[in-house]
Amino acid sequence: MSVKGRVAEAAELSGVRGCLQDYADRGVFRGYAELPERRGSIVFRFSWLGRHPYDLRYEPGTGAFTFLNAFPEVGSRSPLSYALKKFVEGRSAEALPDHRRIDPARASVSASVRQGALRLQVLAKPGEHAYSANRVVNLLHEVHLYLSLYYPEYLWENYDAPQE
Amino acid sequence: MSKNEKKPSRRAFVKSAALGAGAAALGAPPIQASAQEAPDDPITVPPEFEAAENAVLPAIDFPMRGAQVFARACKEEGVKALFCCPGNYDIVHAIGDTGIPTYGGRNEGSMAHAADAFCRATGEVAATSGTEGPGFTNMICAIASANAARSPILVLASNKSVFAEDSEQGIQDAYQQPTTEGLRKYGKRMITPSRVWEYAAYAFRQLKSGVPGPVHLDFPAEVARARFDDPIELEYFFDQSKYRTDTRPYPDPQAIEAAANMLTAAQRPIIVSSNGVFYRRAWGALRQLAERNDIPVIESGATKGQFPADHPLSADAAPGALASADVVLLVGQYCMPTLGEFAFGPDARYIRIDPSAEDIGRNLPIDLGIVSDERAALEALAAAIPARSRPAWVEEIAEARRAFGAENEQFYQTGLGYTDAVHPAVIGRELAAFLHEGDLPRDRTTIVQGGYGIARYTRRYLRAFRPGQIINGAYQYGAIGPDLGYAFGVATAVRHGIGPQADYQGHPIVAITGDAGFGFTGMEIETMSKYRMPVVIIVYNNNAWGTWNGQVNNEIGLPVHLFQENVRYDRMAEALGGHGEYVTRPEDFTPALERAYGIARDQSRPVLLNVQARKEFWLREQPPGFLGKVEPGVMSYYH
Repeated sequence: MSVKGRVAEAAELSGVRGCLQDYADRGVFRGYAELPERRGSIVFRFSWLGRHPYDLRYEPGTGAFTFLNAFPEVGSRSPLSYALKKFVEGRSAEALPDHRRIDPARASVSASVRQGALRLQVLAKPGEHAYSANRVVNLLHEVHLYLSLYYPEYLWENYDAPQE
Repeated sequence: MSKNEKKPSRRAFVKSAALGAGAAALGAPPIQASAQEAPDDPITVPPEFEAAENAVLPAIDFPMRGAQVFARACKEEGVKALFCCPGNYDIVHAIGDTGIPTYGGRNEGSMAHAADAFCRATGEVAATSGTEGPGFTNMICAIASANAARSPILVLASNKSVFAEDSEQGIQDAYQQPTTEGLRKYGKRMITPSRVWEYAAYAFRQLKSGVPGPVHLDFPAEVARARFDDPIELEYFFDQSKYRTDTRPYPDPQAIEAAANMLTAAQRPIIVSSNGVFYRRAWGALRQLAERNDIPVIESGATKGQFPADHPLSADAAPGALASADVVLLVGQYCMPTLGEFAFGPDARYIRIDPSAEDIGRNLPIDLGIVSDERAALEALAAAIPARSRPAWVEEIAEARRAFGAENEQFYQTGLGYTDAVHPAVIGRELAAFLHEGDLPRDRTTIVQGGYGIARYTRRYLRAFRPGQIINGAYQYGAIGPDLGYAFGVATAVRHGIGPQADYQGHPIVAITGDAGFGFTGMEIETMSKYRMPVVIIVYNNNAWGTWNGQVNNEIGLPVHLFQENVRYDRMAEALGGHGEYVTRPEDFTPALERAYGIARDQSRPVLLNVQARKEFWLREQPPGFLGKVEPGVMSYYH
């Protein structure tokens, strides 16, 4: 990687760290930690919604943000997986207000099921890593809201939410 | 009871318990039994009710019993009603003799729930009473529910003498105070008879200041029956101005300035209005602040209606917009959610106004905390904040409202497709149409929003247009089944036109419950009937507990969650003096509702609609299925 590339990557990483650290400083994330870099990726670990532990993997080289373990127990061909994928894809829709949207000019978004868990991924365009860090955190929140409204039983079973 | 005390006769108790009961009971014709019963054997209200209503209040002065001294304190402090069952006779009769409306029901638990709902509908203090031992322990669930809802109920329970309790003499001995620890704001066993007025002062200081909550006093016989020949024998026998204050904490002007700056700078601020706004009657200041700075308002809490649902700034039915808020002002949110329990996003900043400094910062991290009386803070903010408008944000709220309404309409159309039973979306949509869009003024009817699964639907459709219009049944504690106890308390509040119910005095109320919930408090239909309370009760009868769908694959355990099918709760209502209707098809729901309302209004008695559904409506395979929710707003009941 060129010096210019390394400088750019360091700047992106700094922006991402700043974004996530701000959530920790404000008390949104609890137990926030940055794990040592492994094979070009960094994992940020924290607990948040429902005191659930989350690992957010960030690859500075590619700009990929992936929630690895946010939504376990999702079957690859289940109606829930289809519903969630459709919902996630819709987060770039033009009908959404800018503050709720993932701007496709700045980042792309996708969801996939791997090893029985739904993975959320935001892929940042160059210069948009801090923006994407903010968007992927908000995306997790939006998916949680969607489940609260339409799949409460999933949260009963996997997030220890009250059935009543 | 000591050997020297005469036990009051049943007749004497009934006479006293009916004191202050509504005038509607007087002169009303006997309730005709249903056609199946012998026509010469009608259910009647005995003449003692009328006699009690016409009885002259006794002049009570020294020499006085301890119970009478305490009752005088209750009267001077403005306790608005007492809900009880037989037992704790000294206190109950003494309170009734002061003219405080006193009602007797079938179960102490139901009556304590009634007191809770009375507080939630009026913002005033209500008392509840049970006898020592079982009567007291019957109230535990209701005390816990009131505690979770932050309702200022005064729980009064008798005791045997301390000797009897220590030695297990007789029956019904129990040491009460540890039982309510963790379930109340304040509790005290009265021990020294001469301090009975002082104990009352302790109670009312707690009930009338800060964050409300239940106060539990228990009366050993030595206190209730002590005799005082002269006021000089009482300690601390002062006017209330000497033992408590009505002054309130005012906000720090710098904090108000900071809050005004945060709100004005925000792009998408929102106000969450909760219990404290209701109890401090701060809805005028709330509206002034919202309109001046164009800030949408959403509600949470045990009582809804501080901000009218038809106001353009109401975000109560706009769940899709909540994640857009960038600054959230929480006012009087006594029961704080943890992170993620409210729908606001991770970038939202929080301002919290609360009278209790000890609670600010709990659960939800704050960016600004303001220790203050809610009304004082809202008035100060409204005065300090500049005018501004936010057309884009207000339009986003409006669009979210439209989307929510369209989704609910879609659920209704889907529900109409089930023709062999009544879908909950049909109940919710058509009940809302009757109450809010028909001939009735939309703010008229006070609603007990009870039930579990059915409430996931009805909350989506029902709206509050004025303070105290919706009592949020299962709020926070989540007890299943208090609903008819709540209904009795709310009906009492409306009958007497207390607080925000003043303009709606005498009108029927509506209560929603489920078949599971009905099993807990259903006998209170008899209580409503004997006091001639106009209550329309909707029982969502799906033949099952609301939990059954989570156990559908548990073949062995499933019957735990099921009832017999097609149980006739309507006939039970008729047997208890009410009117009943059985509704089995969607097209019959609204006509039955119209008849029910007319009977309740014209005959001043309870009417039960037994609305037959089926448990399978909660399955995802029968859409829309069991519904989720987001909070705050119309769907909220956790916080």
